[in-house]
Amino acid sequence: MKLMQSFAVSPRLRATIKHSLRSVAVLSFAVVATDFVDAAMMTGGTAAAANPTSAIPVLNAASGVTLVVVNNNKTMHDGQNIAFWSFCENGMGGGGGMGGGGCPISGPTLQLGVGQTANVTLNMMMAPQEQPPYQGHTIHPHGLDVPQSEDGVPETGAAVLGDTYNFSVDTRYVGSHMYHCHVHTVKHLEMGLYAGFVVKAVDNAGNFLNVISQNGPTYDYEWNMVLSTVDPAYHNQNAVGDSTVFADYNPKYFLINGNEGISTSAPADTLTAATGKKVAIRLIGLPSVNATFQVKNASGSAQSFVVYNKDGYALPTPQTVSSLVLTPGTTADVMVTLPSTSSTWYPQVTYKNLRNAGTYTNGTVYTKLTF
Amino acid sequence: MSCFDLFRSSASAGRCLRGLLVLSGLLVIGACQSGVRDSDRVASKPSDPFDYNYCGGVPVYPVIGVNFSTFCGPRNQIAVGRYGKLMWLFPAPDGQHVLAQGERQLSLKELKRVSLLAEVVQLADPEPLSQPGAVNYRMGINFSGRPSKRLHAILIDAYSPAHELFQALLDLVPDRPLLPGCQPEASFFDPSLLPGERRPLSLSAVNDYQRYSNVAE
Repeated sequence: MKLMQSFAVSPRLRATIKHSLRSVAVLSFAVVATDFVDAAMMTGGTAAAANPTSAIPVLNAASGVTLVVVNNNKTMHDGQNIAFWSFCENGMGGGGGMGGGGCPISGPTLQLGVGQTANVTLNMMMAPQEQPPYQGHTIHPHGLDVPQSEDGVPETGAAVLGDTYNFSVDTRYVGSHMYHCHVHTVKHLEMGLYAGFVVKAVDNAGNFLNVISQNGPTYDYEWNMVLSTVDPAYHNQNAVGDSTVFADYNPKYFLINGNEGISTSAPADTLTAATGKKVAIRLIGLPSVNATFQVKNASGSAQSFVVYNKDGYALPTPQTVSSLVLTPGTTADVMVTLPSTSSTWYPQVTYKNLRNAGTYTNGTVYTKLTF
Repeated sequence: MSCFDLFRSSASAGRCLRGLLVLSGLLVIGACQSGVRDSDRVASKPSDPFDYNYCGGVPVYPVIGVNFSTFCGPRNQIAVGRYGKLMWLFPAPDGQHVLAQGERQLSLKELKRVSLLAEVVQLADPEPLSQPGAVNYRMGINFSGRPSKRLHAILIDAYSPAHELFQALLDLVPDRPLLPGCQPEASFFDPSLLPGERRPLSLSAVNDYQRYSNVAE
């Protein structure tokens, strides 16, 4: 305004200058945003301008990733401290011993481009582990059809004292999957040895494309949500395998990306996005998960979203729904389109009893999407 | 009266045909059932007495794991997988780097011997822990479909089923683990833990580990 006042100009010219200044501002913002997206794509990262607060690392599986297993623990909302094991990037708080060193409960999300070769090593030197005969850990790419020698299943010959996993996948797999330890799976999954595995479409140069499926639409933000539950009875590290505790499963804590989110004011994860943009949400449900996903606005009304993939495979016809059931060990990729006016939505997951679909106390986990 | 006689009467012919169809159907079902049983018996018969299960026609063997160390030494591990793969991981003195690591498929002859020794351990009484020693080991065995066996033992120069199996596994590994002498020496500790996490265990704590033996999965 001061600048304009310093010139003796007609009201019409003043309006033209104002309009031009707005255009320049909008244009410069768009350039910054585009640069950020391009940079993110070039580094194999996501297109999100603001990463989710859960800060689960996203790693390119083809670039040579070394994972370790670390002790971890988390104090729940009621004060109970729960022991976990977590996959962790080597050197990022890894190396074993006590304490996860800042590693999240859910391990790093691995991304792999179509046609690229995963090169993931599991270093077992310092790993906490179960007593023999179930010592050791593996990485099992759940849902991906890989050679038996690379699938991390000990029952069919996988090494349990450390291994390197090399495999590639084709365009059918573009979408969300998961990986987990397959040693004494019931115990090790519950202890926290799981994470997301996302297969990405690529361009001719091998850069990741921000499309939700091979021929699906683009998105502006990508939000991985790993869903899991916790039965404290399984987390006693002193109890070796084969305990009678495995006869039953009674989860008490419910997580998204390793965090409780028992209210909208204390969400498990938060994403900040721009209005009018598209947010791809990757729902990755561990085997203990029996849940309903919804996106609600501040007044509690369920918003519609589109389901593009289930179990990492594109649906023949995308489905527009306002509620989606996730059964144990399954994934879904959905897209929400944000309105043009600022607001806050609460993507949320309501966990249900595996046996009778009954409700749990604090069984709804809230996340927060601000735009 | 035969069915051929009944065919002369059209009214009876239908009943006879239905009877034949039902009878032939029963015969076919019976033949199929007995055929399934016979073929199952042939297909599932183990080719050697130590194949306790067939997974897709592939013989499987007991899963065996051993963690062993001296009180201050690195955590050494040996494992045998369900398909008979021998694996070992022997850390360097710092416990963070590899001294020796490898895997190899055991021969049928080796697997038969290891399976036999494991079978004896599975059936044997718990290891006596009265005599102290430097090397503690924890061993677990799981034959497919059978309760797991677990034991905590001190490696001493005397016969026991577990020592025999442990020594057989060591002999099959081409590399040698580090088992340094320690001062002070602890009689009982958990060799599955990393050196920095270890603490002397009471005999009752050792037995607590064995308590989980023979609990059905």
